[in-house]
Amino acid sequence: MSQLKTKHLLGIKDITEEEIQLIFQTADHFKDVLNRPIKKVPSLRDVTIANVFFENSTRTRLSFELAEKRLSADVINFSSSSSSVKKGETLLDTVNNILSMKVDMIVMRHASPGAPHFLAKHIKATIINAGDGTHEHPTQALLDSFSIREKFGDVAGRKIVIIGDIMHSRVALSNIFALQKLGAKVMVCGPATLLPKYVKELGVKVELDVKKALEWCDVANVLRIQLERQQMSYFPSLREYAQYFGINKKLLDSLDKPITIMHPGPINRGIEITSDVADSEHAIILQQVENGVAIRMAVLYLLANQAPV
Amino acid sequence: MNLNLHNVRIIDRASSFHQSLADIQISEGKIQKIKKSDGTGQGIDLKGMTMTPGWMDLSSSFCDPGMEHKETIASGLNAALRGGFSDVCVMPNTIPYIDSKSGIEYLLSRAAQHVVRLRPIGGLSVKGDGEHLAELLDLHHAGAVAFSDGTHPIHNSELLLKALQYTAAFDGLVINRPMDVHLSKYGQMHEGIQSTLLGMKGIPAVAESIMVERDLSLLGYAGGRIHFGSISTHEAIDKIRNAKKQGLRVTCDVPIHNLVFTDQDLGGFDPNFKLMPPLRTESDRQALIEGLKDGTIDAITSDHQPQDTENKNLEFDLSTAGAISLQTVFSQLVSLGSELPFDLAVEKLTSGPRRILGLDPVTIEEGNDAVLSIFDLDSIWKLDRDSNASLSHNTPLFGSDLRGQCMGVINGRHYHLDKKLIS
Repeated sequence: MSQLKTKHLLGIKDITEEEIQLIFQTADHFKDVLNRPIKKVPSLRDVTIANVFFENSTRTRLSFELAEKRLSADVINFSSSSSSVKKGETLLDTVNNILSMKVDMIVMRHASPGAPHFLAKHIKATIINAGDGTHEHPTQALLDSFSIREKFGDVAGRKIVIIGDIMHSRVALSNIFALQKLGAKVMVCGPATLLPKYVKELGVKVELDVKKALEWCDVANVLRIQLERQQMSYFPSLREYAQYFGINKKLLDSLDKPITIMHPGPINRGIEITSDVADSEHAIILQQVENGVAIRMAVLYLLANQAPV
Repeated sequence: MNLNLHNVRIIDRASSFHQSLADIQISEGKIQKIKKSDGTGQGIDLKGMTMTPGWMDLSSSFCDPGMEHKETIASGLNAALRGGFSDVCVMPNTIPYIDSKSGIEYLLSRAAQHVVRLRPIGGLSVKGDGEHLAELLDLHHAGAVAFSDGTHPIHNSELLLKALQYTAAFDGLVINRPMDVHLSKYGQMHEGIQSTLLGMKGIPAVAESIMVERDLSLLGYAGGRIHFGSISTHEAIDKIRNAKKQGLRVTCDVPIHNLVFTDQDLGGFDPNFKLMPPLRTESDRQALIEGLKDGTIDAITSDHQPQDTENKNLEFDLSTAGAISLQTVFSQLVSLGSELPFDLAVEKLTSGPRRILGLDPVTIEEGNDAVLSIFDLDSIWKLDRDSNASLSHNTPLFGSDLRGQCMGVINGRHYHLDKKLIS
């Protein structure tokens, strides 16, 4: 397999294990490129990419922008902290305006689940989902699995627990899909109010006790508490959350094995994870960020190569 | 007006001509003569067509007054006519809200000359505020057939209690759409494995059944009559089935959408599938069909809710719920095939809704009022800009080929027949 079958990257649910492996192999190559003195390749010369972000983002937007520039694409950025509808312009109008300027690919973050799928039905350009509300964040899941693969050699057979706000996390859902496709065992853990009632039907283990979850796993992917995405109260206080669901050094020291710690960022230090854990030798949080650029280069490269550009 | 129709198959379980080919003579708005076809019939040949009593819809929204760009009374009634309805009950959720005699009079006067008879449902609370009783007696005398806050569930238990007590005096009917507003808040679709896969906040089945339970408790306490509009879950059906066994005066209906679609249809995030109540699971759909068969569910409704492109063709969570459907109910029933016997479905669209409102049935017999709908079960047609009578086109069926079409409606002295029949 040398090409993706999918035209867009809307979610991990829609792609195959084979496609994920192809993205990984391509990312291996780009990771080498990124460690050379000259980090730029001409692969996407004359391809114009718009990063359209309807939600605040620092690292994902920077990571995409850097990936695009390393591939020599022309890049434009559009950011709006609120939904475009509130400004009086619809999503379709905004994107069609951008496309009129002869843009080939759209990288979009949006607060509405399914917004990129909706867009894909109405426009011709290739779309990469950079996070759609509480639905999917495919490139994050790819870079997470890529980082696990880098650490352990293979994802298959590994035990990964995703801890925290599963209900409001696009990272959790995409990670579950990716890890399962790659043959890992997945558990979710958090307060019951932050776990979707039917999450078990996705084929994951469910654990309400953080200590038990950590005892089971090889890797803990600790999610950010998405205060901004919670429309109502799901747990009594941050203090209580940190105390009973936060990952701290004492908790990790009480286990009989080291655990690899991941976090998609940005970290709420002292809430879901303490500084001594986030900065420890077992954390691969900064490697995740580094791998993010290589993964996004791979996705952009593979999609552009198959799109008529 | 004189109409001679022959060779038409009668579908009306209450009629002695049920399943027969018949010739019918209509004049002065009445069925003057009806007999089994013997090949000597005169007038309009309805070979291959089916005739049923006139269909009645219990739940449509016409957006007039106030949102006439989505639907007017005229366009709504035209959609009903093309869908085979002789009677349509319209919900009070307009701007202004239909909570006064003058509102009812406006609706009735606008609809007066149409073949399809409009039957207004009066607002239960003042301006639909869900807090203060509207002038229900005055609404009743002005022509309101029932009282409801329409698409808004009645959340205030005290208000519902008072409404039940107050309307019991004249055997009035309270219609509530059972949905707990807190449990359904921010919900986009049915809560289940599909909502988990799509990352959308779900509306649990319990949000509906908990309100059915509350309403039944209040009904037992206060007396009166309650009708549950748009039931969608098997939990709610079970509770209503039990209440009927206990003799409570309760009835309910199901929207056509919930009989033909499920939450599996939402995989592509098409906002046209965003409905309220939401599309539930396949097992709920099966339970709804079972409920129709065993008599728990009394009626099928169109739950026709027009929305303009600006409110509908958006990201799923920003899109407004609802679909138009008056024109497609028949085709949707045909698509169910043997899952739901057609004569039973007809009952749920003719005598079912009339019984709920306390109206006489319109059986196809000599001497009765001629309230009739004519259908072609095999005709293939497309719902598109030309054929769509509604001013809105928010339906997942827009642009699709559909099987089964209405060919005419006769409503007393008024009638409309498709050009194909007359030529």
